[in-house]
Amino acid sequence: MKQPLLILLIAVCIASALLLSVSYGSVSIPFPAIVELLFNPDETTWSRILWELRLPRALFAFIIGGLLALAGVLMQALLRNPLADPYILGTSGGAAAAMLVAFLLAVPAQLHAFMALAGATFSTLILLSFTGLRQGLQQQQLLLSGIILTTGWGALITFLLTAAPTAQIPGMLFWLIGDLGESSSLLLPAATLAIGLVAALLLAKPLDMLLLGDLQAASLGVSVKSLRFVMLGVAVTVTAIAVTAAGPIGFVGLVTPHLVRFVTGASHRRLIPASVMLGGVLMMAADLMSRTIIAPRQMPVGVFTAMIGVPIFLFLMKRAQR
Amino acid sequence: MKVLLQCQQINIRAGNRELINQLQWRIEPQQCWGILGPNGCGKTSLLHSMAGLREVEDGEILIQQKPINSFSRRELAQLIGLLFQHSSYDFPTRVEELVMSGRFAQQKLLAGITTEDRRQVHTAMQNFKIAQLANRAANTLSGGEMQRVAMAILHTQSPRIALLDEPENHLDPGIMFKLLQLLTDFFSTDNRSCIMVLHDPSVAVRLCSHLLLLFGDGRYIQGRTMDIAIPENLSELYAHPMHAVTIDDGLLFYPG
Repeated sequence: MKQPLLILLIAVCIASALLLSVSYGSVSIPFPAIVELLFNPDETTWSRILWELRLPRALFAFIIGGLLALAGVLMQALLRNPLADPYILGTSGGAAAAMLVAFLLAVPAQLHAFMALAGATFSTLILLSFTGLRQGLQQQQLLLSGIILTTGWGALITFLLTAAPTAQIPGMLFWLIGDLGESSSLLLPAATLAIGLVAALLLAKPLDMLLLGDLQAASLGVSVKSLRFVMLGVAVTVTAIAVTAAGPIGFVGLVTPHLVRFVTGASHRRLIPASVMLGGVLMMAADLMSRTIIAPRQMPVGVFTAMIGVPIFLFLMKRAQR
Repeated sequence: MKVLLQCQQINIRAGNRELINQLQWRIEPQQCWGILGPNGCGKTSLLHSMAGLREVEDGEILIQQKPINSFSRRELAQLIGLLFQHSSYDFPTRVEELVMSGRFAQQKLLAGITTEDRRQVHTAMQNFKIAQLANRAANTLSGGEMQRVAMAILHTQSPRIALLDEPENHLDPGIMFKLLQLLTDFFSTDNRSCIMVLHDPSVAVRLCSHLLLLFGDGRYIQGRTMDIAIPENLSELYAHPMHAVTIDDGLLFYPG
């Protein structure tokens, strides 16, 4: 697809997802009123709902979706496996378990991101100690180790939940399935997304070459080991920040790059920015559903990313087998 | 004559087995070497070692008189290129973009694609008859098409020394010689040289100026093709009687 057309398509997707997600909720605001209020905010309830609740929430959803999609793209290139993502490899699980420990120990909120990063890094180090950063990485072994790690983190999470005081359990559970309701500061996730995106784009060319395999990429001049190290660092950090802000949300990182590749091909120069945008759109859509389907009550957004993501993923697998 | 690549007292082992023992080998510009030997005799390990992708157990590999590990990956890629035994690609990257990856070592990390890059890619794709595949997704290619893409990448990389690991893989006989001839012509001129692992001694005799025979038990012999390619040597190499016939000035070997 030609570049201008692609940009137009993405812009239309973002605009419509944004419009829908600020319009619908426990109170619906008609489209003309939204357009009016966007340019002339006033003191009405609609205006306050739009500016203080819906827009920050939509932006938050977009950023989280972008972070997860970015982590997914990087992990897939790292493993040379289109089925990889931080949720499957245990990175999210490690971050989530560390966060629950932080909740239980009443660690101050400012330190949560560091706890999550420590958990995600620890999980990744365990993974790599089994599979190594070496050339000729065994893909299946890595994927399988990741799945086993995820299971292990799941057990630890269940243990922590069972041991937790009863009053804390609902909140922890909600966060665990992925929750955009408790949006704290947008600054850290937004800054992480911006830095991660720039770093990934700078590495787009060598990332493309990594898809040829470690040995071939090395023989063409890529410093595979340091590239993998940097890329893993970015993927882990991006994942940890997303988990800190919204809980371990699955499938966005896995499915988004797949969908984007149908349109852009696998070249990272286009795949990375387009995935970040589409990840944001998908998350806004999932968040919209989580807020409206049983309104005024809200569901954790992770329920919907899984409900959308699982069928798409199964469909893609079937397609790939043919 | 200046030496491009040199193996000094190289040992290559697989587990406890000594495959190549104390290999002394000099590759000079414009030479085209063929490596022959039975399965599992260390041919691929030797090529990977010479490309800096594998540590040698003992000895040293010198490129233009300097130890191979004194070069960065980028510098190495400008000097040595490797055509792998199998190339596979699971992602839908366009073939033209894939061929462009051969230019990586010449490009600045953040620089865009230059006219020279495009020209090189275009030439390589014309040469290896894949111009019509330019917009195909690489994960939809057949084995033979992928092999030609890999050759085009190597041509675009344009290193001083080309290492070819079973370059005849996946190619039908109609086009095999033409493509191999293209590679050997390109890499046996000027300051370049070419080393290829082959299974068929007849192909080796037709394309290579020199031969290295690896017996798989540590022993090797090397020299000019006309001196080395005799039925006695090949029979011993493959542990099976090999016969030679001459047809239209070409030498053909076949197992008895």
